[in-house]
Amino acid sequence: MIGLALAYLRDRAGQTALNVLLLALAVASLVALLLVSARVEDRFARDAAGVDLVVGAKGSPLQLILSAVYHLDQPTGNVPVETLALLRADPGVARAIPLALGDNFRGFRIVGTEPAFLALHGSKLVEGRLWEAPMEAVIGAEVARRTGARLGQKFLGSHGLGADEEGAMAHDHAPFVVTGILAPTGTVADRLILTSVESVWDVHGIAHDEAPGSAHAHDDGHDHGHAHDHGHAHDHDHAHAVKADPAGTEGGAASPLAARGGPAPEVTAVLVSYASPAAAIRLPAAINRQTALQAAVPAQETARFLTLFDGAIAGARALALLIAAAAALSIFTVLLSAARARAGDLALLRVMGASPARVFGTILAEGLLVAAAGALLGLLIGHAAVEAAARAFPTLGGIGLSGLAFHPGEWGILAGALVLGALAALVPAAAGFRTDLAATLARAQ
Amino acid sequence: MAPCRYLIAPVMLLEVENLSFRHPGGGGVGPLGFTLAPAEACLLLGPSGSGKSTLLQLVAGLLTPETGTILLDGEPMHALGPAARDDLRRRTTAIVFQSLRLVSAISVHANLALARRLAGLPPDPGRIARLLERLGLAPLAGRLPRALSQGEAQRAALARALVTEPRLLLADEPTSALDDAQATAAATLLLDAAREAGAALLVVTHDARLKPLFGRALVLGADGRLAEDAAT
Ligand SMILES: Nc1ncnc2c1ncn2[C@@H]1O[C@H](COP(=O)(O)OP(=O)(O)OP(=O)(O)O)[C@@H](O)[C@H]1O
Ligand SMILES: [Mg+2]
Repeated sequence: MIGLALAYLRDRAGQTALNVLLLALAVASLVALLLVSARVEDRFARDAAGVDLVVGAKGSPLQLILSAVYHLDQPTGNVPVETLALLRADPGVARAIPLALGDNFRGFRIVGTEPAFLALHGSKLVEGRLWEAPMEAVIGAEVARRTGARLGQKFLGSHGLGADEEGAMAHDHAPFVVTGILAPTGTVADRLILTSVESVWDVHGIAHDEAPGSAHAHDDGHDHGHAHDHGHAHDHDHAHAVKADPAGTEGGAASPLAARGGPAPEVTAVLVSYASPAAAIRLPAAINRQTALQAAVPAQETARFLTLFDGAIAGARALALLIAAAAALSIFTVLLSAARARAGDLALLRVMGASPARVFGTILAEGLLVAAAGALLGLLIGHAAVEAAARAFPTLGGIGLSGLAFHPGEWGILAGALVLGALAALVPAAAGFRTDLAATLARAQ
Repeated sequence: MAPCRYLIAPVMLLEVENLSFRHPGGGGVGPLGFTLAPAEACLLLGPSGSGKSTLLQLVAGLLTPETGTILLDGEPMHALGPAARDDLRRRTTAIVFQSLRLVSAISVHANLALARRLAGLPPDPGRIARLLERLGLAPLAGRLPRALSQGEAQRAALARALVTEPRLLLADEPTSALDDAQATAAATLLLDAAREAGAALLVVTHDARLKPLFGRALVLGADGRLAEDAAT
C-alpha cells in the first residue's frame, strides 16, 4: 500500500511538497532550538563544573563569570596574587585555582594557571607532558586542530584576548613552546592554551620570585592534595600580612602596575571549590566586603544569563509549534479533500479486492509519509542551519555548537511529527474506511 | 479451498432465486430468479429505473438482498458477512463500471498489476503484457488513466477486470458513451476476451445494438421483475 500511497502523493505533488515543507519548517525550528538551547545549557554546566565561586576584580559578576569560566568576555580586571594565598588559607576553600589572562595565540586564549585546572575539565594529555619550565605550554584539542600546532612548536602570544583585537602586538621576545596536547573534552578547555602563571608574568615583564600561592605548587601538580597542603602551610603568613594591611590589597588592585615601583604579580581570577556547604553562605559575602574583590557564583550568573533567553526561546518554540499545527491542519485538509475527490477511486479499490483496513492504511500511509518526509527534511534543515550558524558566529562555534551532533530529544520531535501526520490522516482515513460501496458506485454511474 | 468443491463442482456458476431488494426511496428490483452457466455470456436489458444496476450490485455482493438466495460458484453469497462476501467477490468476480474505470494515480500497467495483487494472485508480467497487447493497449501501458480517451479507458478497464482471471465478469453500461461502431467493437472485444479467459459475462445495457452479439438476454420489466429470459 506504500506504493499506492506514494502514487497518490505524487499525483498531487504540489500540495504534497507544500505540506512537507511546512512540516519541515516546524521541525527545523524545533530542532535548531533544541540543539542550541541544549548545547548552551550543557556547555554552561560543564564549563562551570567544579567551580563553586569565582573571585576576581570588582565589576559585573556576569562579566567575571563569562571571562573566567567561559572565556567569552573580557576580564573585570586583576587581583593581587596574595588573594590566592588568602583564599587557600580559608578553611572553607577546598581548591583555589588561579587564572592569569592577557594574551592570545590566533584568538585562542593563553591562560596562566596550575595543573589542577586540567582536573577541573577532565582534560588528559594525548601527547607530551605538562608545562614545567617557564614558557612551556599545553594546548587544547581544538587549538591543536585549528592551528596545526605540534609538540615542540614555538609560538608567540599576542596581547589581548581575541585574534583581531586592535593594536594586537606580538610578544616576540618571549616565544612559548608546546610540550603537550590535550584530548578533546567538549569544554572550554579545548580552546585554551595552558601554561604556568609565571610564564604569563614573564611575558609581561612582571617581576616575581615564586609561584602564586606556593613556590612548589606546580612542581608536584599531579599530586593535587599534596600541593594543596603544601600551599596552605606556605600561604599562612601571606594571609596574615594581607589581613594586617587591607589597604595594601586595595592599593594593589587600584593601580596594579604601579605597586612597588613596577608591575606587581597579579592574577585575573581565582576559581574556588568549597570545602563544605557552609562556605557557600560565608565566603561570597566575606569576599564581597573587600572593596577590591568580588565573588560571583557561576550557577547563579549562568541561570540569570540564561533567563535572558528564556522568553525568546519560549516565543520561538511557540512559533515553531504554531507552524507545526498549521502543517498538521494542512495535511488534514489536503487528505480530507483528496479522500472526497477520490471516493470513486477508493470504492474501486474496494471492489478490486482491497479490504477496508487496506484502504484505511493507504490514506494513513499518505499522512505518515508526508510527516516522515517533513520530519527528515526538517532535521536536515535544522542541522544545516545550526551548522551554518556555528560557522558564521564564532560565539556559537565557541560553545561547541555543531550541526553534526545529534540530540536524543530529536527522536521526540521525529515521533511528534509522525504522530501529527497520523492524527491528521485519521479522519480522512476513517472516511475511506467507511466508504459505502453501493452508494459511491451508484453516484459515480 | 476444500477439495470437495472440485469433486461436486456446481453445474451453474450463478444461481439466483426469489431475489429482491428495495432502495429507501422505493425503487429496486425483483423478486426474480435466473441462472448463469460457466463461461456463458448474457445481456441484462430493461427500461431505465427497472433495477438493472441494482441487480448487478446484488450479484456482485455490494448490496445485501432483502429476500432470496444468490449462489455464486456454489457459495451462498446472500448469507455471508461483509468480509466473507468481499473475499468471495475477490476470488470470483471482476466488475467494469461505466465510469470509475481505473485507479487514477497510477499507470494502466500499474493498475493491472495492482488488480492482480488485490485479487490475491501472484504477479504475472507475461499475462499483463499479453492482455495489453490483445486489447491494443501496449503503447499506452505507461500512461495515467486521465491521459486516455474514453474508448481507451474503457478497454483498459476491461483489461483491468480480465487480468484477475475472474469466473464472472460483470459490466454496467460499458458501451453507453460510445457510438455505434465503437459500441459494437467494444462489445465484441468484451465477448471475445471473456470467452478466451473462460469467464461468464453479465452485461447491463439499455443499448439494443448489442442484442445480436449475445447468445442470451434477460429483460427486466418496469416493475423490476424478469419480463423475459430468452436466447436472442
Ligand atoms: N442509492 C439509491 N437510493 C435510492 N434509490 C435508488 C438508489 N439507486 C437506485 N435507486 C432506485 O432504484 C430503482 C432502480 O435503479 P437502478 O439504478 O437499478 O436502475 P437501472 O435499471 O440501472 O436504470 P438505468 O438504466 O437508468 O441505469 C430506480 O427507481 C432508482 O431510482
Ligand atoms: Mg443503471
